[in-house]
Amino acid sequence: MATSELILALEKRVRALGHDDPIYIADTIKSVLKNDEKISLNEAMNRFEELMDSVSRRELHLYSDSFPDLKYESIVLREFRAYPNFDSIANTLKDQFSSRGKGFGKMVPRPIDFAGFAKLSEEKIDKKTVFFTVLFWIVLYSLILYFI
Amino acid sequence: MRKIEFNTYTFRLFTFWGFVNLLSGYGTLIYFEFLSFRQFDWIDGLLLFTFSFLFLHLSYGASIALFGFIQYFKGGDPYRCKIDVNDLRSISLETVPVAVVIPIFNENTLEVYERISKMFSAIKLSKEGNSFDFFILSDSNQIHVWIEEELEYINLIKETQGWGRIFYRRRKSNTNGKSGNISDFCRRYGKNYRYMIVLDADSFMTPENMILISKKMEAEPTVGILQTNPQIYKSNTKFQKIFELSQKLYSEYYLTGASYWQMNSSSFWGHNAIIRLEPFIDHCALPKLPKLGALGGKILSHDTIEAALIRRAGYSVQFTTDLAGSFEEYPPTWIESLKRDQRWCQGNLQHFWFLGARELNFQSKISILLGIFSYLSSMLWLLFIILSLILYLDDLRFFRLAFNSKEFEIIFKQFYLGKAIQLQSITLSLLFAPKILAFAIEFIHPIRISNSRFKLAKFFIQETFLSFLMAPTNMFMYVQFVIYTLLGKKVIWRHQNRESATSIPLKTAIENFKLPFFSGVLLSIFLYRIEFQLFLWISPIWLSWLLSPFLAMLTSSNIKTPELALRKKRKEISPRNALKLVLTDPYIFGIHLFMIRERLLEKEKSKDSLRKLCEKLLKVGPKALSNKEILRILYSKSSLLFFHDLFWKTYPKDRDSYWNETYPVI
Repeated sequence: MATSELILALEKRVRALGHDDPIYIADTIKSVLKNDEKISLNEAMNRFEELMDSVSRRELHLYSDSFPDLKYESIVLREFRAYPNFDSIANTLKDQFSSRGKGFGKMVPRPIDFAGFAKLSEEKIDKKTVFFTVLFWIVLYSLILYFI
Repeated sequence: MRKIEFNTYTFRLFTFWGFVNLLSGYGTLIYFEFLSFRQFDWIDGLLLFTFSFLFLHLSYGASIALFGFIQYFKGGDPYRCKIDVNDLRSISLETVPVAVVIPIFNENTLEVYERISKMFSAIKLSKEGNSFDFFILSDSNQIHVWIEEELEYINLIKETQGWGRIFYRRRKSNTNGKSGNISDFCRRYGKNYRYMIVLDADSFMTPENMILISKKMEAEPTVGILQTNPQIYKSNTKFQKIFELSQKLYSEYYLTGASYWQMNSSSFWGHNAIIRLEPFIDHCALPKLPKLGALGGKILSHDTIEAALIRRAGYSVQFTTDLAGSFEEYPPTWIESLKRDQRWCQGNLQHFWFLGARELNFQSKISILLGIFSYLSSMLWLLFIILSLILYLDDLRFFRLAFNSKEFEIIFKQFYLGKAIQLQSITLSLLFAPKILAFAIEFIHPIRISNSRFKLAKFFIQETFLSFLMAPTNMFMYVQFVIYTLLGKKVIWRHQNRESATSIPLKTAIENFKLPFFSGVLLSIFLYRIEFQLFLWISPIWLSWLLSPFLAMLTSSNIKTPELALRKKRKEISPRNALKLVLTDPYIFGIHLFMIRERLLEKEKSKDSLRKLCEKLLKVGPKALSNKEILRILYSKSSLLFFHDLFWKTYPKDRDSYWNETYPVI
């Protein structure tokens, strides 16, 4: 007979997964312990994880190649099971960090030089306008200075 | 948008800056006459030099407002970046991928996600935004914030059905802050998108706005960055409300005036803007600055420089005031606003290096210079006040010795004070005339602020009085920021509760404003004892310093209860229980596994050391590990799996008591 400490540890783990139904908890613990009297905590938990893995795969129909950690991730994925495109949602979640093959636009600082200046061609100063505007301000300044 | 021709470009630059110089030249001339009333010595020279810069800055502010008013009365700048729904109707965004990126750093997760949820849901409904993807780019380094972000992300995508369209990514190390975060996005996902709409954590943009600016970018292939004018929203405190209304009342004139001379090199504020990604990736990587204490190394404030760099690449930076659906929050209190200013201060001062980069264009450099000067001018202002005090006392002694009391009265009041009053009048006109004009326009045609005319007048008086009272304290604080930045130090702020429904306690306000407060006390006593007239003349300065804590406290009070986030928390995550939850709670652990990238190149040696850390963490508890070590565990998939496994395969008596705690209350 397994110790009460072990049973309590298993119960806590089942409850942590969100199961509150005592019958479900008891059945799960029973199927993990299999009347094994000298089972260690380590072994019991291994069996429990195997059980969770097989239940999850049966339930979610996801392959182990893409979802090697399904025993841990299934609790999250179950929330999306009701959607018709569940497979695609699961894969998208799993594939969060893929740049979809087109990433890597690395930003490399460019040296600051004169080459870019030519591109600002539309902003070249027009000499005639400079002359007249400068002349205008000179006249205006002079008038102000004269009258003050 | 009409193409800017050579003559227009030159004409605008010379007209605008000619006018600025005319104004500042005139003020400086009057001041010179005032100073030359008696002998012109070195103090006078220094004063005139300081004054000329300050008055130039003041003239610039008044001129942009004036040019803005002229454009307003003309019916708008013909060269402005005009966004017209009808013009853009034919443009399709079906095949135009747009990324909406939201860099976040230890923010209020529920609030940020609520905004994202609203924006995404609306854009999904719009039918034109099918090519828009959202990226939450987290740099949060507090474990409980990070875990909450992940947990709520799953809620968010479930609620909005946003899988494959809303992405969450947290960087392992937040190198180069926000600009590094954006750069990291560009490196990983940039090539998948043509445009990137950058939002701050507190930004909100309507889908119509996002669609229109994207269409505008499609229509104008030479535009590199298009900046919108975000309106301040969600104002809960008096401080926020005042700035919200003043922005509504004045900002359009100032921004239109600035666009008049900036033309293709308008302002970029780093958020609520759309960026053409290809040239941005190719040309806008920020160079590392030469080493020079706090002014060298990594660039802290990136927006102005990125705008200058994309301009250098031949693309324009445009600014639009045509759209009303762009929003941002304003700091809730004066203290929070100053904290932000401190960050900007160091960032802006660093930009001086770029003034020497010869290939950046004139407008970009002037924008950089203005950014630097907005903080540096405080130093000049303080210097100017100190020198003026010395000169005034010196002059007073001279007059009293040189003339008998009757002559002194006549000469001092008629000539000396006459010039001083003339100068004061010009300065005050430049400061207040734009505000009065904006107020008058709104009073006659109320369109910006939908309040009654009485309320508008009340607000105008309040705002003018407050800004008058706050300016000398801001100067004081900016001087402190500049000095601290140059010394490589940081001003330490006392903690305050940002989400508190009540105002800042007086004790906290005094702690934060103790320097200006005690300086105000000392200055007022000093001036009262040496010269009563001076005591009165300088009263706006010492009164502002003296009243600063009270002003901070009064303006922080709530005018309405802050809106509570509608989203419900899945689990209460606190700094205390976050680590336990992420490593042991199967649901949160499962989510975290999805969010951690598999590191195939993780070395066996590193895995071994992490395993040892995990064992220590379980036996001795989090206190045995440094924050860095804990972050290492949380970022390694192999160690996460190892710990989770170890936790469940260890009896509670063999673990540290931390792991057996029931979820502690925050």
